[in-house]
Amino acid sequence: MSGVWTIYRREFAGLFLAPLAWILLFVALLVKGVFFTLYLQAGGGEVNSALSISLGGSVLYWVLMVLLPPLLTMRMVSEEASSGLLEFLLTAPVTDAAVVAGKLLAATTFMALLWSTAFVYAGAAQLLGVTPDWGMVLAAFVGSVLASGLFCAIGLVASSMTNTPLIAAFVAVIANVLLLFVPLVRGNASQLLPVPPDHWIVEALRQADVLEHLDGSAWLGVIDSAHVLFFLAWTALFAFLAVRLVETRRWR
Amino acid sequence: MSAARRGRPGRRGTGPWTRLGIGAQVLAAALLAVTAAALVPWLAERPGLHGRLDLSATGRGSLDPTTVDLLAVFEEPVVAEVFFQLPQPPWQQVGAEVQARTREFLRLARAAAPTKLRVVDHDLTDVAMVKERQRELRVPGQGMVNVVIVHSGEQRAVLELFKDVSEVDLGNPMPGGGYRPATVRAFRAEEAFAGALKKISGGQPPRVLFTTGHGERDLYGTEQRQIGRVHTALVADGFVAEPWNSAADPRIPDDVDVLAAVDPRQPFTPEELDAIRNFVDRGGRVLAAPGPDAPSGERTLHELVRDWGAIVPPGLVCRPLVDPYTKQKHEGSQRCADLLVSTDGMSPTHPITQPLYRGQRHVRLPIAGAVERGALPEGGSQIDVLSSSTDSWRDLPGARGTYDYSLARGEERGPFSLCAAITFPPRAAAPPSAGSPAEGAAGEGSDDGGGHVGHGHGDVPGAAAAAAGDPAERRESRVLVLPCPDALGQELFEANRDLILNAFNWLASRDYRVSVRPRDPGVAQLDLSDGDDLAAMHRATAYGLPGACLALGILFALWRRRS
Repeated sequence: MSGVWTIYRREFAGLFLAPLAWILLFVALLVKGVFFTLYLQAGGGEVNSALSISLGGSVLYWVLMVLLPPLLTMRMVSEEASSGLLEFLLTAPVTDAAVVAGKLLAATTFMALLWSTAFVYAGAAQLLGVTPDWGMVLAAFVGSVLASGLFCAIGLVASSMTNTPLIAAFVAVIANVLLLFVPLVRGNASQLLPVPPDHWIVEALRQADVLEHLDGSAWLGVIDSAHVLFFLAWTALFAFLAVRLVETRRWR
Repeated sequence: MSAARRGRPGRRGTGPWTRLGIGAQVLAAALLAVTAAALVPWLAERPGLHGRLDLSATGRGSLDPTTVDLLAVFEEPVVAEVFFQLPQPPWQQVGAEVQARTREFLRLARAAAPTKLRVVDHDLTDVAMVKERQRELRVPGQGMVNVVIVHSGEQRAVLELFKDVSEVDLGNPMPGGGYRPATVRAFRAEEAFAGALKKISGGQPPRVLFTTGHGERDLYGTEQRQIGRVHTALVADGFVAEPWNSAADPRIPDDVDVLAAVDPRQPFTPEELDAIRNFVDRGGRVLAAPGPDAPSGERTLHELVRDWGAIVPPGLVCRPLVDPYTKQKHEGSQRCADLLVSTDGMSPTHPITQPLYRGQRHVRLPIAGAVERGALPEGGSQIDVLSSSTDSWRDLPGARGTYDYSLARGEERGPFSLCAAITFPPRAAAPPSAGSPAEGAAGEGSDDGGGHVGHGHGDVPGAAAAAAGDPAERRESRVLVLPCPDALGQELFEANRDLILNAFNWLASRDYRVSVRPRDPGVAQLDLSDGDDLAAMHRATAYGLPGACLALGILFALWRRRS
């Protein structure tokens, strides 16, 4: 565990040592801020709906969710591998799992920092005399962090597969987009696949549908154990795959 | 070869087979991990392992406890099959809104009870598949759109999107000054869903017997005046509807819930009358639809309903026709007897008419008689479910038995009751309990009617064991008097379908008005009128946070440069 914490601190600090993270954060905050006021205007000043759009109900949210994790994780393994730092890290007295876990936590923490701006928006509304639904904001934040963890884990897998960060980012973005296509495939299952709507394949797609899991819980202001475990399980799966890929570098 | 090398065991390197072995291990581990990742969420949905914590201020993320309890009783999962199609413009937007909200509710319901509810969303572009599926589900009118069919086992209930789930104000689509967009006036997805659950959890389907052998309307007939479509609709709604062959056996079986007498033209036999009376006295339910011009002497349906407190006087209820251009009223036409009852003439709270009232529907009653109050049974009550307008009158037949459809001297003016719902405690030798509910059972749809066990009926054909059984098993008697058999006929069935089905459901105690707590939309509105609040928000979100991030970044960079 101490290894995880050490790696996490190093990675998180390292994110902010490079200008990339600051630029990403600045741009994301700027765009989110501008769009939040647009949502407020469009909703006639309804704060709760603007907050829920900001935390899941908008294209901007998914653009950030698809693009930021790959950009954050693309260098975490691939660049270290190409620069030789990874070999140094692998010979350190930390397990491969601790290395991956630390990096994953660092990337997820960065994303959590981004999504935590919703609390600032809600706080601003509170100061202006309008009480937002804090519970809903908290649940949506938790859902966003869990989803971010999943996308960061996918990014780490991509980063572990190659020594070129840009390729890693590209692969991760493609994988994220494909994951978000699952609801589309599910909704058109009878046309794309020759199966009725209650076929087990459609049910399996529902289980893998990230939007379905967020829609049924976080976006309603609910923490649902089944949906939390979905994100944790699939994040653990991709983290496991990343660990295995990092391990293979030992005997390449 | 050196002695040192001869004595030392050979070194093992990572040869191709070793790599293959390692690769196979990794692959196996990966497959196991994928399986575990798929299994964990599935396991997490099992009852006992699944938990939900609703943090929202309004509870919008949770089902009402009533709904959760209703779902919990099902051993087999309930399936909600969605058949949605966008309405044509100009109601496309409001239709899309209602559909989206309904889908959101169903997602919530499934998330709250993942092992108890399945939602199947059908693609309506495949029309043949939709019709086939609805045929399999035994719903009438294959090709129904904008419905949710809730079923479990053999029981099913159909929820219509724009009738049961929502009320929509269609607005005024005409461009110009009078334009008004369509809006959703009320959204009751959870209430409708809970009602459907209650309906399909009822166990044995209710059984309806139709009297025969006295010139009644044919239960299987398809001609204009027959009631074949009533039979089809009842079966589709989960009833067992059969003719009562009283000539062969005058007894009414114990498992009959409702007896329907639709326009009998001849008197009943004494045995039949006794059976019907005892059936009602022990908590049975009757739909009595005497024709206004049917015989009203002894042993007729008119006499029966009089026992229960309703009098069907001679004559037809008529109303003047209004010329749409001149607005003048006219009499003397047979069309004066073709009544169109709008919400003004409906009880807004009775279970039979409440959905019609809410949906701004109307019913057609051609050639209808009136219902007057007689001597109600002790503890009984009568509700006028449908009433005529104040400008109506009761047209009396002339010497030749014909009607002139004009208000003449001696003819009574309205309004008249056109359909009366009578309830009373089961009759018994012991004093009955104080009163029965004035309306059908509200809240949980319970119809516990109180009253004591009756012992006064002796060994009469049709006497139920419940007459001497547990008082808790007895329930209130219900009679619905609708002196307009043509309202159930083939021609007008579609126009009166809701009235007819609601009537049978009320008589069978399937008036499922489940009380679901209203959901506070939880509005938190920022005042945008003067722009100050919005400007402040904009400064905080678009300038404040990004600016702080930029400032921190620059400070951090400067600090790093110095250090």
